[in-house]
Amino acid sequence: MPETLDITLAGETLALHADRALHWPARGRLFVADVHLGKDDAFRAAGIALPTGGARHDLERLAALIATTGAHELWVLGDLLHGARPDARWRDDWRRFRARHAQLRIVLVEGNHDRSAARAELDITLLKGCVVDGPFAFAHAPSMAPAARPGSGESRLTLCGHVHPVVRVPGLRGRFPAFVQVDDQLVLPAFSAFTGGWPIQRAQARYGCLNGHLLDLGPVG
Amino acid sequence: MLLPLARDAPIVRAARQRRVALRTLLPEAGERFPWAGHLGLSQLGRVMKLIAQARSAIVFTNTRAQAELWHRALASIWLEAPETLALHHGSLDASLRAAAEQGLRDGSVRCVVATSSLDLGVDFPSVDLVLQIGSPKGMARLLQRAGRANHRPGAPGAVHCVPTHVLELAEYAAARHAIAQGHIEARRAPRLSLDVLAQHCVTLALGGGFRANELLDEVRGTHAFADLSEVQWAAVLAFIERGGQALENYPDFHRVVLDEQGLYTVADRRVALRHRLSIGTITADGAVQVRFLRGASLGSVEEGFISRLRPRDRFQFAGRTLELVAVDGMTAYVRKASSPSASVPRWQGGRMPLSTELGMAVEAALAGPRDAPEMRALAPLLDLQASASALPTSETLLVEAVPARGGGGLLFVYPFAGRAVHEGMAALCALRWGRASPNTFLYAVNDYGFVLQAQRRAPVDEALLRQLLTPDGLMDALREAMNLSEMARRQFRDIARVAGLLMPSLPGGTPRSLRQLQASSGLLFDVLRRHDPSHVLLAQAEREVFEAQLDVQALAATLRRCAARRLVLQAPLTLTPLSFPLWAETVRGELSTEDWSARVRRAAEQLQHRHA
Repeated sequence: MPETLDITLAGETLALHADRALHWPARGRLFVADVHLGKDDAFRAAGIALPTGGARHDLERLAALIATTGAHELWVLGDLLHGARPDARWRDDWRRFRARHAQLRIVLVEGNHDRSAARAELDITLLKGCVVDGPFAFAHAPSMAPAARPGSGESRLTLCGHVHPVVRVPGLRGRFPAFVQVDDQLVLPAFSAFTGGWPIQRAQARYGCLNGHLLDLGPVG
Repeated sequence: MLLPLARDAPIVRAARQRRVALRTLLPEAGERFPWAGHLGLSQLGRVMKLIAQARSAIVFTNTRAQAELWHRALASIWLEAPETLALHHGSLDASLRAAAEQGLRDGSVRCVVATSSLDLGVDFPSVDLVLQIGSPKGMARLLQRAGRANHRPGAPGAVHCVPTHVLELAEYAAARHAIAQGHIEARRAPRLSLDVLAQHCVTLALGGGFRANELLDEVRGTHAFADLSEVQWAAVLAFIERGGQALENYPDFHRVVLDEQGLYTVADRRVALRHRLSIGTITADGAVQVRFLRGASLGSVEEGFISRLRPRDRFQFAGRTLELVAVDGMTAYVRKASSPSASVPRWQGGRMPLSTELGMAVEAALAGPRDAPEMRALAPLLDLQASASALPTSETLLVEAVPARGGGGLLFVYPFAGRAVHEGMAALCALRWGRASPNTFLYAVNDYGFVLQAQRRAPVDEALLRQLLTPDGLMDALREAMNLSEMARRQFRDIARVAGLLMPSLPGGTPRSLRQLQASSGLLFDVLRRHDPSHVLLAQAEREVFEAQLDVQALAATLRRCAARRLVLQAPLTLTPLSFPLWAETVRGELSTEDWSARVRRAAEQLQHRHA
């Protein structure tokens, strides 16, 4: 089973990576969604004892993906942060990550958890709402993008995140994060390892991320 | 058990045991009786006839879903006023339960369908009929239930047993025999439940604070915590004060703070609120309140059940057919529905295992003299088992190997040790077999035995079986099996909730401020395993799997017993009366020693095969 899988959407080749990222080679862009940095900090601050280490682990995975793909832009499709804690521990990890990738352009399409991103001094480009670029639109939540004008003959595909899609695989126990295509939207799996998921009932295509392997699961519903 | 520990205290026993009569509703001669199943509704007519003759009756079931179904079945043929038939189980609203109890007491209720929620506690002198639907699970439990009938000094107890599948006949005969011999199970109290201790410490910190050494002395005075070590105590304090032992892992964490006077207290209001909401709860998966649109709460069902329903779907709960109107936060609003066809919620939680004592008695009864009416009724089935394979006996261990469709094989083993022990044995055997050659096994258990389904063909012979069932090296193999089969991960769910790691389900829904703190116990388990593997609660999950869930001592004893017996390896052509119920059980677990890539490849091939 492969670690990456090429799919063609809107005439463009996109490479899906089993570690929950999407690469658009023509533009040298790597896409992830729902990184939720600082989720464990929020738990600890509320008196729920969770150890640190999640943010560092996720950023190490991200660094590895950047190295393998050679991408020079990183796009986060929303929810880079989990909450608004300026003194939280994930910042040290982020600063180290940013310093190691000083040349990398990082774009955040703001998500519902990112309200504090603007004043967080992350050294990134912050975009709001829905960004249209070539045949694609980029948004955080599905169905936020303006639909292609009816009758105009153009089709536009939205890349987004937010819902943390997961799938079940016959013959294997548990749920696995997945890329799912629903109508004209390709929803990315949540990137952070410390996230739950939403089982998908209806999709035209599903690609499960099975601990290092990608599996084309076909349509459902 | 929080009684003071006094090892040499005098014990007072009742001078004379109450006599108990155990009768079974036997199938008629020639009546077809199911080989597997757990409802027993085919006996409804006979049960109703008994209730009609009684003053008042309790119908005991083994699960809440079974209680709902029996209540609905009885209600459909109930000729008296509907309010004289009541329902009683742990997920119903306390007011509904209290009403059922009061009705039994004052005679306004003629029959209550109940689970173990009515086993203990108050007495109902007017009850003169007790029925047990399905397996009695153990002698002590059956006696407890039988004792609910004629509860007056001097009067004998009585219980009518209603089989749900044919092999339960043997259980009744065996239980009667064992009770007559005075063989009754001992009851073991849980010990060193550190999650409960952590919860208790936070409660005390909230109520004015506590001092560590004073509390340690008090806690060690109880039976449950008499053996609490300094290390464990320090770990509990570290958990509530700093999050864990590795301080650097838990920056900004403070649930309980130690002040200059050496007093542990809670300073944060949010921590106090969350704690008050979660204490005292019986561990259950996200419980959704079921409530009429305007008015009374009926009780709670699991979130997973409600989430599969859509508005206007009907379900059976609290003895009523309900229609779902809307779900708001953790409340499901319902109205009464007329149509009787509806799904019934199932509640998670382990099913109670057959006691080892009763298991042994059943095994002896199957091959023993057919001197009880139940065993005479069972005779045709036992003869079929004997001709297709063999009957289990007290000197042998019966194993049946049956080829499965699709290339793998099914291996049935019958130690008669109860489902808890069988789960451990199944995981252990899967691990040892998988070590010999990489394979993936699904396993299922019931109270009589377990079945392993190998995904890749693997031959079986007596030497291999001896190797799978050896008592040698048990602890190491079991620890590895537990990790591979995710048993500890499952056990962690209850621990995480009691220890305050999971958000409680709040009345009226989760406020926005708390929504960002939701995570499943499985996710928390994975985070702790990766970033703080020596965490005190992970160790507890492992210990509880060993001691409570798998009952390692009973498991070791069962393996020793198996090793001393003659192996009878049969290869029947089809499923037998003993193997059929196991084959019909849902899969309980999975254990793989195969390379993950190989398994993904097989899953992919199966998908292709399915679509082709």
